[in-house]
Amino acid sequence: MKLIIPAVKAENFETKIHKNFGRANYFAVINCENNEIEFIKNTSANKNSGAGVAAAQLCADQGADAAAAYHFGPKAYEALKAADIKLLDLNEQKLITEAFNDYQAGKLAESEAGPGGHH
Amino acid sequence: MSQEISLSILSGKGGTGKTTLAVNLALALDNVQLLDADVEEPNDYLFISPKIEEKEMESVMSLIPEVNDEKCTACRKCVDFCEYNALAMMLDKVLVFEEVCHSCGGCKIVCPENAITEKEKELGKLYHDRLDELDFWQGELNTGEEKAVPVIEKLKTKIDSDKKVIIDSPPGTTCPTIEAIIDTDFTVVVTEPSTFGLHDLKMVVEMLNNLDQDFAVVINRAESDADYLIEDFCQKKGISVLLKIPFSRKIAELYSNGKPFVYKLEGWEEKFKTLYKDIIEEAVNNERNNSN
Repeated sequence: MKLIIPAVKAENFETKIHKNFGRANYFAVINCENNEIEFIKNTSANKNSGAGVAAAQLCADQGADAAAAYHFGPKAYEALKAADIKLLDLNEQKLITEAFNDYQAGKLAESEAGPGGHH
Repeated sequence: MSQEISLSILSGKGGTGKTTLAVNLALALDNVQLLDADVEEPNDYLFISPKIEEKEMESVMSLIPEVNDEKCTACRKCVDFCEYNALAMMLDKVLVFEEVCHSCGGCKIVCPENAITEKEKELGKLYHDRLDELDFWQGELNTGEEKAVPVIEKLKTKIDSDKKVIIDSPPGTTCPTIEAIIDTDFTVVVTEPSTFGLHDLKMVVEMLNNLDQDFAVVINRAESDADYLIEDFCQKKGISVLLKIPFSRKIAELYSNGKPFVYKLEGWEEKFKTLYKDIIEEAVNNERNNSN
């Protein structure tokens, strides 16, 4: 199983979670079998348009099974769903390790499509 | 017949007085055309033609790709090509995000399987009404759509250069704003004497300077103890302040009842006519300075 979490930096499990999915600087890709973590740069974070779609594409290309974030924009939500990636909501968690622990403990609820988009 | 000039009305933020100025100025003049290009929230009609939805209407269409899944081999060339991320490849199927598509048609061209065709989709609407001296057009973006520029482009095809053209632009410094003002001869920037007003005025001035667009300022909700905020800035930058519309309960009440105050408050028709003369003078002066 592969879990993806938006991250502010490319560091380690103690790195902070990015508040946004589509506009995150990096994505932490965690292999849940061996607890290995790697980071990929979100090359579309500063795109004027469709950042959420591009971010979802990146996650699908990584072969992710699940993604956890505070907020998914409507287009990212639709694209991730189409890729059969499980969308999970984060709330109190601040560090990647906290989100990962809660994920493994089965504490993360499935996410609803949230508001989003901009001009 | 001599050519009239075209004018765009702009503000750094919403709620500053664009509608107030555009509507009252248009109603004070003869042989005038008012185009409401604030397509995400057009509201000039409230004062000009409240039942605009029952008047002439035409659709603004855009082309959106449609993928034939039978022919698609998931080669991904279209997804990689799309600069706007309107396409995604999920489980070997192409997903189209219509709202972000800019209708460039590139995906159709790069598809080696001819799996992509285009379909028409309504993006927005134009409304039209004609009053005695005023030809009124309104652009409106459909709810849920994100691209205002094509609606403004279509609206601009209605410009009648034999009339005094006034374009009420979208506020701010975005692409739709630039589309609305870029071809006009002169821009009037509406601002208010507050810290916010000044901040947003500065943004707009920077944009207009980058565009080499001639402009002057009108202060709305003017108050003698606050106007210095705007006046000091304008003086330093060599920007003319052409008119002050006072902060007045009467004007606010008329506005909230959908009544243009130019008809209700004595002397204002004359003031707006003078404003128009001043604008022409500014435009001509700037023209002269630029050509020197």
